[in-house]
Amino acid sequence: MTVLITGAARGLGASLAQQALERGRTVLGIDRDWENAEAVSDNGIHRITCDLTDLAAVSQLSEELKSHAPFETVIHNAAISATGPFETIPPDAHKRLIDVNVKAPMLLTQDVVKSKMMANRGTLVFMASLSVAIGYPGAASYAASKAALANYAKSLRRALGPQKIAVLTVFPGPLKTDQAARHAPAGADEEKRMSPDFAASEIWYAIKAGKKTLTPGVQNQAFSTLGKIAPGMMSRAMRKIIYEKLDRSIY
Amino acid sequence: MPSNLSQKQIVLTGATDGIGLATAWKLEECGANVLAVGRRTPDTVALPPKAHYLQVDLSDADAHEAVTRHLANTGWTEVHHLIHNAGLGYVGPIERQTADDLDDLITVNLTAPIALTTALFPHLERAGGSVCFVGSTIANRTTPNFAAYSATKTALSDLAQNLDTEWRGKVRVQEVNPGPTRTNFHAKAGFENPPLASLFMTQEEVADGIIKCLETGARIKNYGMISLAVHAIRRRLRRHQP
Repeated sequence: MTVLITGAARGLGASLAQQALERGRTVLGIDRDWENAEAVSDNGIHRITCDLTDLAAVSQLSEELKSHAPFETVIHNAAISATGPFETIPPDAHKRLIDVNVKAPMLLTQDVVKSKMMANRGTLVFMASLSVAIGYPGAASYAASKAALANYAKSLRRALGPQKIAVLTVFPGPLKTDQAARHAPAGADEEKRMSPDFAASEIWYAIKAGKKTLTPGVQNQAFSTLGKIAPGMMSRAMRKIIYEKLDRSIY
Repeated sequence: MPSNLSQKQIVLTGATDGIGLATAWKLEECGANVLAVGRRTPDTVALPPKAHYLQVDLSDADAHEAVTRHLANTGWTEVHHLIHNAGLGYVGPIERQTADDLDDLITVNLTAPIALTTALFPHLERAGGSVCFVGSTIANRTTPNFAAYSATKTALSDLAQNLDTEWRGKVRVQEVNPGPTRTNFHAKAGFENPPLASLFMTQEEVADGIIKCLETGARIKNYGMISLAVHAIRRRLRRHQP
């Protein structure tokens, strides 16, 4: 069976791809460049090079994707961030972020569903973020993009139920990846972040178990619950923990 | 009591129709100076007499630049309120929407307000003003037939929350979330004869809500089921008055 993973060259996507290969799946990976691909051995993964900010290129993927269908699992993992005080990030950077994090997964999903590329009882996986539950001042457009995906996934789950397509929404916290390090506030302790391998194994388990949502990690689950019970307190805390420690804008 | 919106400089998107147009008229009654932003050609819009009009398509990537250029040309260095009212709708299964429609929906409902808020932040900060997002009570709900639309409104609400945390003391962040409203939004979204349409609020009622939100500086104003019922009863009572 084939799994499709966006952003598969590095970070969490690479871990997800690696573990899929270990489980004997065929992996179709999309990324904007594969030069510094992590972990993934060359054998087994079909690499597609596509920049998801280029929406015309995204819609042209259709034929190639069809030739690899049906997909047992499609994981919308690719995302970019933009951190810093909201107003210091140029409109173009916000726009690219919405293109990659919201438009690309929605356009791909639309195509996959329209062209019946999902296998029977296949799973669509959307990477939201812990930010949906606890807020993320200092990455407001990123958090907004993840809130959009989480809500879209929830609606889709009901819409696609009759077609026997499952939907899993993942709310990961900070991971030990290059991307997270690039966007972390000053003085952040990298060792406290979750390893992408651990997050990936939790995700594969959740897919197999047919779960609807997953927040990997007990600590993240505790934060998530707290954020839902006391959102005001949590957003003040997040302002202190993250926003006031951002020493630069990265986009 | 005179409105505290008198003489205030206000940028309003989606001002040529529905809730936006009703809001433009009410703002003018309050004595505010309105820059109305819309897609239509000026001669087809029945805007209030004193309002400035800027024709911009918010699905264009550089729409925010057209607005800042216009402000520079008219000498507005301050904006007291930026009201993001423009929005596109779509109703139906995701596979029936064309890719271009989906693209436009996300651009107009999410990318454009983000870009415009960034671009106008200096004007808002100088005025100690507020940015007001017109969202929807559909945000955060499970809506199989409004999946993308509801996702954009959820995103705006999340954005507002984080901006409010970021901007405490600089620029106020506000949200007005109407329930279903009697505009031609539903028809444009492909929804003919929605059920219980008699319970929908009128666009004037929602515009009143926006004005009130601006005047009081409230963080959020939701029109849930209870407000809908209250407004429906009020309308019924008014109808029976001589």
